[in-house]
Amino acid sequence: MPQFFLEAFGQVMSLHVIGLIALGVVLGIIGGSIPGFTVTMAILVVFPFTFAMDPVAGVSLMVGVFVGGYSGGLVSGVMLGIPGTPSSITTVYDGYPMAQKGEPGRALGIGILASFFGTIISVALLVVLGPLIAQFSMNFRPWEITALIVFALTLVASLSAGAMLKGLIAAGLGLLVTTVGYDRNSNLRFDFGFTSLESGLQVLPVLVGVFAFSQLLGNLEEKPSGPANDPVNRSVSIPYGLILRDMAGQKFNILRSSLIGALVGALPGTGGTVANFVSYDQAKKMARRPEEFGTGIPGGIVASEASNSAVAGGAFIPTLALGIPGDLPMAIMMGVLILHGINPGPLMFEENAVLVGSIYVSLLVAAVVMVLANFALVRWFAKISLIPQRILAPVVLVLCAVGSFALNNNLFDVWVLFGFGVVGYLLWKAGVPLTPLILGVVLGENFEAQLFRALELDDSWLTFVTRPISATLLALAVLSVVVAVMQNRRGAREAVKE
Amino acid sequence: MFTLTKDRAFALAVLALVATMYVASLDIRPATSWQPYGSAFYPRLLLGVVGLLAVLLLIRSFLPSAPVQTAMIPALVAFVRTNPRVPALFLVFAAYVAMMPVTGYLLATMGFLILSFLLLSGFSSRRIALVSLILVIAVPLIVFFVFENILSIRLP
Repeated sequence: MPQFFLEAFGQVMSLHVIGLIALGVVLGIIGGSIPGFTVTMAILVVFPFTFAMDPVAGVSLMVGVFVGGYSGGLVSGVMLGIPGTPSSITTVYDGYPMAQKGEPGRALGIGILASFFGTIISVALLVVLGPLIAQFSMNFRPWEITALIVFALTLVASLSAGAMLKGLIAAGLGLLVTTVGYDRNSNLRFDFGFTSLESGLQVLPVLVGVFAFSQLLGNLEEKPSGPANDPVNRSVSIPYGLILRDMAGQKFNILRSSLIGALVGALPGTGGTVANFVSYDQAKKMARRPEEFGTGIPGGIVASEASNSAVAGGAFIPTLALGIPGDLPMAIMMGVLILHGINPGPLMFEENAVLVGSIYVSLLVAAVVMVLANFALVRWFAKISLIPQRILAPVVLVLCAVGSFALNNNLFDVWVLFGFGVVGYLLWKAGVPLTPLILGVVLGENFEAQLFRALELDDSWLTFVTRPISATLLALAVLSVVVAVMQNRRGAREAVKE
Repeated sequence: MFTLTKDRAFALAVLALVATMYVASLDIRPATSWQPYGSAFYPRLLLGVVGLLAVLLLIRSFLPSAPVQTAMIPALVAFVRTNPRVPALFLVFAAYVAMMPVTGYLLATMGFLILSFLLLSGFSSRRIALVSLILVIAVPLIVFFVFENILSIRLP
């Protein structure tokens, strides 16, 4: 076993760090189980509490939230028929009917174990593929990294259903946010008359503002009166023998769904929701009796929960190996790493090998804790999932404000949070996808640095298209836009026909 | 007749931002012999790309194939009428940030929570009122304790 892994194991296996992971998992499950709250929001709320921690402790806590959050959507999906997170939508298809049949404990138990196996398999894939991809990307020079970031941004924008053009503009606006303040040559660019802007905009208040306000206020607007479905019987008891038999019959489904989740999670801009649908669809196609899907069968719950939990490990692959976040929660996680002084990317495997190892170990520990916490506390999580947004939103806004302030002990950052909160909400109302904007903000600084490093080494722009990997990535970027345009046109034609 | 839809409003807002930032970029130190691209080059490159995309969005909104959208202003007025709590919560949050340096974190946060709960749930039942009251007192104190004593971060 590599030395760095043993060292990481030693650091994570302290009572202090395990305690933090457990706390993170519980908070993540709570966050995931409240409909509309999402994993990303749970990460944003917990993040400020890591400021004073060392990187291993801080990142372990966040990994706990991440793993717990992806499994948390199960609870409200099964008990209320409302997915706690977008990545657990298909859990409702079979979890809720099973609960309505009087077997909520069985549905929850299957979901919990499927989440566990999904996480473990995705971590195995991360451990194998992460270093390989990092090793390969060590050949990447500034041209390739610039092209990779362009590809990631165009891919995310083109995946914004029916709003590709607005997604591309949002990505550009995100990149523009990072031009405020002094540049790499210590020349002031934009401060708009505010001296506080001379040092640039802090990433965290911008991300929190854009995401949290649109999410929280959107929830208040859309669901003011609570769940629409009838809650099922809340007396949950897990039939352990039965769910073990159920799981034994789902071995291939678990493996297939976990691999789908991990691989989809590794693609920029896709995330748990896409993995969830692809996996459920594949499980249905491969099933002997596909017509039973949607009536409350174990296969549907397994496909959904194994895939969305496997996204946790999968999304870490491009983040750690390439410095490109796989989805929105991972973009926030990348912000967390950067604020802890760690730059994700291929060099991380050499420069911060112990931290990479501690992420692996934290994911594994979090998977175990997630199972134990879910089995022990599931009836409480089911109750917590009923907390109304009108009670939750003001409390979360306070935590966002305090977190933004605590970043630099600067009240201006709270105003930045508010300003971007207004902007984020208005953009959301205008149907502008926010993920490309957030990705642009997170990747902006690196994009500029790599672009100019490339131009300093060779001032010809043609080099971007004469180097094979860079040219391939740029071609893929163009292709992603072309395919999205064609799909949009086809969709529009079909809509006209109907 | 010109109808201001969501897409058009967004495109026009982006173009206004691009124009403002371009004017601001004229004050950026020009390129030198040892910095051939200069500090204004990168933001102007982005402004150019974003501006071009915004123009495309604006043009597309006039094409017959554009997604059907209703006029934005009447929709906005109707939205504010049916959801007055949303803009009100923004105002309460702005007041909270403004009050924080004056009254300090604890009082400002308690005030914000009271106003927000009143706004959102109106203490509609005894149970909600009790939960809200507990949160108004507990949340600011717990956060204050954690940040000041455990994380050693001073709050206003």
